Amino acid sequence: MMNHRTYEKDGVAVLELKGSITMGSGDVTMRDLIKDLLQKGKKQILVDLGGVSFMDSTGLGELVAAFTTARHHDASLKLVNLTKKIHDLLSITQLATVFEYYERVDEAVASFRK
Amino acid sequence: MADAHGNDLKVTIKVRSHLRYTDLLHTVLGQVARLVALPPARLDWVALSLREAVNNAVLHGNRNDFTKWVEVEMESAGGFLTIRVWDEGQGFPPEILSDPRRPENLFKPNGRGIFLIRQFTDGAEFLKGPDGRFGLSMTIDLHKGETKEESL
Repeated sequence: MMNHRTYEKDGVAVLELKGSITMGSGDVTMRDLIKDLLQKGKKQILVDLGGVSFMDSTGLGELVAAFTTARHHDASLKLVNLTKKIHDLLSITQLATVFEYYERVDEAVASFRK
Repeated sequence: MADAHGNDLKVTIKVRSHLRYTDLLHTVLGQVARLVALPPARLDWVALSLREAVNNAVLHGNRNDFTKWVEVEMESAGGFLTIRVWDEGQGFPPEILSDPRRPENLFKPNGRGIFLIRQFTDGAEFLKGPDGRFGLSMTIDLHKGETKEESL
């Protein structure tokens, strides 16, 4: 089960996700939410994973797919508020080398201006 | 490892091949983990491994055929928890699995399930049952208190 909230901060679309992102639960929702932001012309997307309690390989795959889809739209997608478990997952799979990620939302939002 | 009453534990659950049962099996694992004293720090990782194995069995092994079965055994003995996930598929040669960390695979949306299972369990092997079923056996050393990835 996944909940979400989208808001704008200094021109950056922030997608806050809560709950599980696993096969059949949250995976398609996350994909649709990011697709929707891209279709609305958002070029700077920040995914806040602070409330994500569980993620499997499908969730990881959706994050990667979101990253590449954003790039195809000339948009950039970054991550913020990784829990230790999600950070571990990204490190183990070496996806930590793919994503730009930050500890705090304000720090992440500021990074888009650089 | 024996449970709190001094008994080894074996739980077998057979469900129709559908992703809707992955949560059920995850919940059962949570109960089994308490009975066999799986270190709490490892529970999420073992649960992740179980979910990956069950999803693979449903989608790849049984090819989304709801008339087929997935059977999961959780067994503790001798300080190890062994989880076996059986499907009715033909299996596959393990050598077709490529390392998802390789640069050419890094941006692929799939191909990480078995890799994660190997990272988070203390042993994973493919099985061919006497009845022709395909299985994946995952072994967890109950004496290892730390998550395996922390020692990587």
